[in-house]
Amino acid sequence: MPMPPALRRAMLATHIVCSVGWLGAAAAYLALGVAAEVSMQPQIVRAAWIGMELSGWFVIVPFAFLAFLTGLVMSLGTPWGLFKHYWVVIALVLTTLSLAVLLLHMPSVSSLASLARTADDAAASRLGGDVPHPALGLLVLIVITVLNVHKPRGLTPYGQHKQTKEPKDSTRNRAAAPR
Amino acid sequence: MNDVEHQPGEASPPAESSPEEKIRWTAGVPRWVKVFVITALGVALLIVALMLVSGGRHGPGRHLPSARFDAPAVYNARAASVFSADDASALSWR
Repeated sequence: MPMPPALRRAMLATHIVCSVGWLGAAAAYLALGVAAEVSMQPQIVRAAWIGMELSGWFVIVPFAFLAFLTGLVMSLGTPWGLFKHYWVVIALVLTTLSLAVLLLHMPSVSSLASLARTADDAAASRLGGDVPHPALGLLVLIVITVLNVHKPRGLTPYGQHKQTKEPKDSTRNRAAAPR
Repeated sequence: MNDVEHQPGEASPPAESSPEEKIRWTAGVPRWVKVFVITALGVALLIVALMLVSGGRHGPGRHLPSARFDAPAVYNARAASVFSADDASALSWR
């Protein structure tokens, strides 16, 4: 179902903003996680965990959801399709995994932020941080971004089937697509 | 991020390409996909190994409600006055 050019550009802009916002927010979360990990000062650990909880629920999760949804719409609304090209499939799988791990991890972040708020200074200073999750998440998001920019060649068996079945339609779509 | 400036025609064999060119485009799984999948599996195995070496307390199950890790439950089970540093370090995933 091809989208009108204006709608496609608006959706693309939204998708880029959300994806880059997700990546930037994850980088900021990593900085807070490292600060909580290396610092022995309870005030810094508390502030970092509260910041991680707030940025996680109110920035990272919304951006992640919107990036996922706009990516789906962009794939289905353009000739790229969702399962025709390997790079789209891999980006979809990585994005879905990242979103799932994020949603499963955030309750733990909230629990530890609650602990950081209520624990005494000695306990708070030993609470530690959160480095592996944001570091790995950031790596995955960078891989997804590179895939999206580079768009490496390769048609899936489904894409090959669709291409041989509807060569005229796809040629017409490509010719009609705005540059 | 599907770029409208970069259309799928650039990632598919051109309509006027030779049969050899079409075979090169569509035959089998591209090498970059194989390399990517093998690398991803290697990284996943490495992460699993690291988690097992570090005590095996981390994994997807840890995020589930039934998991042993439940900071509020652990915290509420004890009075704040007896909350010790050891408890706090046990709750972190270091």
